Amino acid sequence: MTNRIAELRKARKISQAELADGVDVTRQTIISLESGRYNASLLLAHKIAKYFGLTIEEVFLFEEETT
Amino acid sequence: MKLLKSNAMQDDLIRLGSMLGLSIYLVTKAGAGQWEKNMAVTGLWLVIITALLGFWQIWRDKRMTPEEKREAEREKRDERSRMIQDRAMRNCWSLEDAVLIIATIVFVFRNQPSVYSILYLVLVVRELACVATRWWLERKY
Repeated sequence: MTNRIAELRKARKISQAELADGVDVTRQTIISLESGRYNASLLLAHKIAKYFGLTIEEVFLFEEETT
Repeated sequence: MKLLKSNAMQDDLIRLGSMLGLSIYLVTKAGAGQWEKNMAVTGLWLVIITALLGFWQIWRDKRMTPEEKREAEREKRDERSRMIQDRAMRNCWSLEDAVLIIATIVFVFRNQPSVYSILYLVLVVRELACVATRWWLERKY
């Protein structure tokens, strides 16, 4: 599963720390999410999507959708 | 006492207390061999160092700013941190299993039934405890 977190964050000029504060996780978690080393739980994915005002599917891309 | 409110701290104190008691007993036990005494002294040093680290952490936590406390609390709640902790514990469990099995085999070949039978019993009890815990969790969730 890939995601557009870094792209969306930079487009809105939000820092990783601000995003981490916004969804109540550590900055390290945001870094790991953006680099693809960690997959968010459903709850965290929902929080991140809600933070950006988008749906989960618009933020997180499942493998079959990218091929 | 406010200090003992944390369950993790209570667990740590029980573990340290047990190790301390065992170490003191082994050092003072009549007829204890030099190897036993050396192991007990090593254990005592580990307990002392762990206790000092614990007190240092309590001292440091008391001096945290509200922002730092909030970050520390968030670190505990963070799902990635919890995932890492769970995986670390599972890996350590596997490592313990391997060490116990190897030790059992070694003592079987050394023909020391008093040791290998205890190690084997520990292995069996651990596996039964794991099965029971999984059964209970499956019912709960």
